[in-house]
Amino acid sequence: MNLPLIITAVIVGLAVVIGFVSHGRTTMDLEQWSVAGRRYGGVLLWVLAAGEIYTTFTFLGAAGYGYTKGGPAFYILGYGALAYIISFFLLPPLWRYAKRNGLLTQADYFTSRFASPWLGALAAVVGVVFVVPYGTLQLEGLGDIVTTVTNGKVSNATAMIVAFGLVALFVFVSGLRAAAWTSVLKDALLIVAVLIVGIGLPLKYYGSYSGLISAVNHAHPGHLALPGSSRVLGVPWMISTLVLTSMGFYMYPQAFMATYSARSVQAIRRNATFLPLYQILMLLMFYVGFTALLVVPGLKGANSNFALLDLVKKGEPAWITGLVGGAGALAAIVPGGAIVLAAATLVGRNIYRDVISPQASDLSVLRVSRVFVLVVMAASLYIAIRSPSLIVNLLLTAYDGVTQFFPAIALSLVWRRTSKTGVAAGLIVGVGLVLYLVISGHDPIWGLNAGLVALIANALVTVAGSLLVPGRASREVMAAYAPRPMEVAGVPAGTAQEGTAAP
Amino acid sequence: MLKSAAVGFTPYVVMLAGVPFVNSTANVGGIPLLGLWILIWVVLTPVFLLAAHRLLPRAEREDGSQ
Repeated sequence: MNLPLIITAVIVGLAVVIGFVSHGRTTMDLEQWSVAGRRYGGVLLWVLAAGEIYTTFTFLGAAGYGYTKGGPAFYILGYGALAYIISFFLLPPLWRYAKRNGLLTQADYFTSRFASPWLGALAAVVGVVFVVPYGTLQLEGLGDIVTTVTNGKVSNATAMIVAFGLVALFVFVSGLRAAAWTSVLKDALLIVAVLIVGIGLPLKYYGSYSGLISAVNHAHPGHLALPGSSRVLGVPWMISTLVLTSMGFYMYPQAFMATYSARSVQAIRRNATFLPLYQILMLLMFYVGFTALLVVPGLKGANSNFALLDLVKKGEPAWITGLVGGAGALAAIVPGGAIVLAAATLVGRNIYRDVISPQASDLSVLRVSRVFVLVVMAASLYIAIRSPSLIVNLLLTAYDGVTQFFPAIALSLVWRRTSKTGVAAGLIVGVGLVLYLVISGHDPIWGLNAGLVALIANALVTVAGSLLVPGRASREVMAAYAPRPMEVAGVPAGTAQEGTAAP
Repeated sequence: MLKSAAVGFTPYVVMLAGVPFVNSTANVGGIPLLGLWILIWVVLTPVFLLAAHRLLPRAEREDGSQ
């Protein structure tokens, strides 16, 4: 046994305990399991809403991207803030609609708003198809981290199987509560780890950030601007990628679902306002990547994922390596848990109940969803073990895909006539184009992010389809988006309730 | 609502619009100009969103939906 391995194992073990304990004394019904009874404000909503920010993608991907590509990596610093601006306006009406109609999943929104279980099922299939690569991505990151910090004593596959077996179990038992409470530990540890390595390493080797930047500019002229060392990722790519990723941020099924867990619209807006500050630390990860570029040069392709870890092992004492390993492992397994939860609920609610067995009770939907936690886990694990690939590219494909939900959701808030025909056609065109362009190697296309090109086609088709076959959402449907004053018909402030009863 | 959105989306538009003009590796106090530009607008976003909140229609600001 070595010290980094022990520390990593202790941290992961602690998260698992928290995951199980988070069940508390709640009676686990479907609403508690999937959206934690919609009671979150404060810290838990904050870490859930920021779930996207501190993941393995941040931890390994940001440093790796800074290492291999340079300037294009700065999109990772900016997209979160832009996404929170969109969420400030987009999420409150969506949350109200979800609350009043008792929605639990992202696809529920499509089923409900367009009165079409089939559209919901289509949205569920698209969601699952793209969320599984994202889960796989977390798995691969975890495998990389554990293998590196233990000097290969624990194999990639073993690490993935053990950790994700544990995740599957605590999500099975505690649902969203597990994801929320373990996120608190994950974020705290990651912030500490990012501060230690992000301040320590660049200063150790170059004395100051300014010294580091000068050294990079000297050794690799042009690396720190666009297109950096990527050749194809220029200014148009940067702008189109920022637009695409800011729209896609909350379109991940698990991020969408996490929003439902909010206590109120005010909690959502307060979070959106201050979350951009949470992202500033990301800058430090680029510095680690730049330092690695000079200190451990020559990593190519998927190996650039190791840039951070190699540098940490080389430049920091063993206990810090263990801390970084543990924090990195949590950055993989905690979001992994949320992803699995979302995918499983999509299958249970929107494929099993909406299409296969409409009479199914909430209890049997819960049972089916729990079974699918295990199925989805196994599928991600299989893909991760069979076909490892570069973390960031996988994420960009998944991102391009889920962002295709955006036009339908944004339009449906403000345009009554948005129709299921338009939405289905737009979604199919958008997703089809993403798959075609990315798989055939046409990303970027005409210098633009291929996902954004697909998104524009998708939006045009959605509008055209809705004009040809208009939807007929009633006034009542549209009223579900609207705010309601604190005192509705004599109900005292703070107790107003509508639609499905909450505890 | 439009006034609020106009203020809220200011950092969004400005960050993107500025990219072609700050695409440089110039070392500004330890941060490349491109990164600094993005950082500035990330830091300013909360300020603009606070202002956007004040400009929301009253019904939105006092929404009591629970």
